[in-house]
Amino acid sequence: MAANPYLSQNERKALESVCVGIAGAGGLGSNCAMHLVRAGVKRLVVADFDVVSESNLNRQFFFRDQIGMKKVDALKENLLRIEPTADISVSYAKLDAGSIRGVFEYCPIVVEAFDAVDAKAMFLSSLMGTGRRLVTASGLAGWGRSNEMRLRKMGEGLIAVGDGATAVGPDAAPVSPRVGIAAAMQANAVVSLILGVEP
Amino acid sequence: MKITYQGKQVETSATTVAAFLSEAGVDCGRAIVECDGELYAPGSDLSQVALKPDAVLDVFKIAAGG
Repeated sequence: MAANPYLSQNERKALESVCVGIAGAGGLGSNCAMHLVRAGVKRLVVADFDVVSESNLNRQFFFRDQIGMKKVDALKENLLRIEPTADISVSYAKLDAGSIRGVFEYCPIVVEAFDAVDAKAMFLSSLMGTGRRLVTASGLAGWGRSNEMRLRKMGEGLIAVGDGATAVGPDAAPVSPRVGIAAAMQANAVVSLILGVEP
Repeated sequence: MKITYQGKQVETSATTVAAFLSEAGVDCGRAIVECDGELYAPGSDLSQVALKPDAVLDVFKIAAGG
């Protein structure tokens, strides 16, 4: 049975045909990828340079017995448990301005799921204007204030989600529900882009 | 002159997007800027982008966390 049997054949075909890039496999990337595969997206390229640690388990789509694994390998394992026929390509690498276009060369849609500001800025300055649809997120720390999480369409090819302000830091921890809201909003935007409806 | 910034009308004497955002306390290296439908990546040189009367300016600030 398909991961999402509730869709029409055309919707399923559309979701299966598009390769989606995920830059970062932490709180945003791992959860966004999980939502996408459950929705019916079957082709992902996921890039990350980190390994699963105990502190990730409060919000990331990993499990205790995966501590120490490369996040990309652990995520691929988990996604294939949802949809064994998914085509998940992984890149265990720290992306930079010189490599990011190559890694996501065949992805018309790429999700920005980094945690560091510099990495987010690098993603945007490297991929904006390349014709790809980009879905970025900023402002997801802490808890509460669900209604401040919003989606903005900017220009022709960019979608930004989050409150655009609340950074993770000493006064604002990354906690599963609010990180999860942002990741789900990113995934929802990707599905909408693929199915041709307003994100 | 009046412009629309983040959906609200504001008065400014700034003549470039960089000057306006500096007054507004926005770090252009950490923000996506859209001015009159044109999109600028973080770190773009906005000192060359003129701010015209009735301009529509939107900013999405980049914040750590992911």
